[in-house]
Amino acid sequence: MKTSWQWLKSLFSKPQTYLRYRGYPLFAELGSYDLYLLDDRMHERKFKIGETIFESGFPVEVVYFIRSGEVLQSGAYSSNQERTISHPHQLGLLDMFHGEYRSSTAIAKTEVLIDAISRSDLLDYMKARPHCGVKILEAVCKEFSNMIFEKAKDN
Amino acid sequence: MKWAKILFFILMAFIVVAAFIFYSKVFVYLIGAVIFSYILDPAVTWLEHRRIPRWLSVLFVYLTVAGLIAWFTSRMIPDIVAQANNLIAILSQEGGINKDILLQVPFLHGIHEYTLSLDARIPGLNISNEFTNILDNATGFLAKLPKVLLDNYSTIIGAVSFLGMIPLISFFLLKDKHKLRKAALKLSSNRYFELAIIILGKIDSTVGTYLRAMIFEVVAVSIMASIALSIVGVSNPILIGVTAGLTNIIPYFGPFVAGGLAVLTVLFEGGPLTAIVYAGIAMWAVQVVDNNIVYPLVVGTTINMHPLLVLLTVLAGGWYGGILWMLISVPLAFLTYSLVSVLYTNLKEYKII
Repeated sequence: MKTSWQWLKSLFSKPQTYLRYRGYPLFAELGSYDLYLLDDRMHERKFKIGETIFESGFPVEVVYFIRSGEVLQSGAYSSNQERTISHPHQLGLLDMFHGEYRSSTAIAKTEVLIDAISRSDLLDYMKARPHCGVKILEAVCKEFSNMIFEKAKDN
Repeated sequence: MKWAKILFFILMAFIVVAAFIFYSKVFVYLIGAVIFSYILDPAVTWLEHRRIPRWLSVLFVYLTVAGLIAWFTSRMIPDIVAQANNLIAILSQEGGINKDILLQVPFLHGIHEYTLSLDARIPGLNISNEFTNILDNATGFLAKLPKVLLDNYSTIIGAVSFLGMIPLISFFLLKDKHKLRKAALKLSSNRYFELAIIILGKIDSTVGTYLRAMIFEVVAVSIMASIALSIVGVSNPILIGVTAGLTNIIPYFGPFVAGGLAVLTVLFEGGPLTAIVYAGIAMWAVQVVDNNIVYPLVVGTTINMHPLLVLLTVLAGGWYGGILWMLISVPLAFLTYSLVSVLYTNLKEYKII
């Protein structure tokens, strides 16, 4: 009886793998139900070594969160210099708030596992759950301020 | 390409074609269920955002819709059936409709008298004969109407059973919406992933917004037309109102169908010329409110299609699949055009074509 009930329950509930999104700074402050809803909008993608994730000049539609592996990014962001990024960083956040097209190119340096979310899905999610929207935007601000200070140190 | 790969793709193509043939009969159910899901999805999502599991949200929405349908059926359907019977009774009077019955209609009687007086004044004109010939042709068409309705009775019963299956399929589409979307996107390669997301998102927003707006408009126009026609004293206001709501889906030409039905009802009942004018004004007022308030509010922009293209699409729809296709051909053409234009723009931007 207990087993049948657990089997029936498993049909309507999903495993709590969505809690791993807390590992990304943008979603670190979200509650478990918020992450459960976010998981519906996330897509897992795998890239082989040398495979292009996106190219400069292409439309911006997806923000990529690196779960594992390393990505080589080159383009406007790093003043035409290459930089390697890995977990828990994301790709495409600057472009998402900047314009319609990608300002950089990203290529998988190793085998890469990525969680991807479309820009429209992320914005819809933030609109539908304003308290999550505030937390995400707060994290974005932190990210951007860190970026600015790092740049200032480099100069 | 290796032989094994070629063989695999041939096998996959064979399976897809076989599946297409096997499931072809249920495609129409699937399309109906997809439409139903699109209409209910915002309510389900709204409940889900309030911490109610998605499957339970679907059940809540189903129960609410079932309650509304039960209420509508108990309150409105008897009236609509009575009004439809009344209209059919008029159209199938003893011996069928003939020109003598039509000539008893005061408005037509007046025209006939006028043509007779013209014939008396102008020798050789013979316009009254032409008028009675026109009436003869018109009665031939009207007399066939009840038979057409009866001949299609089995189709109507089929449609009812079709409607019963849709919520069942729709339940799974609503419950597993995100899983299905993820599965569809998983099929795309990394190169086309962003493009697939854009296309799927556009389909989702265009089809969803349009279908929900259309349903809202059908209900709004049905209610407004029923109230307006009741106020001016036209018989069968609910039946004509619901017809007005349904035919309103066809831009430019749809509103004239219900307007014509209202005028015909007044004519057959022997109402005065002023009643026809009032019926016309009532239907016009409904269109003014719909075009200037309801449609811009719920859809945002109108269907930007040339009237000639709308006319040709409606005619082609009617030729292809009768009244149902006349109703859905314009929205279908609009949605196809929107999606093709999105696809073309993005294929260009991603330098695929």
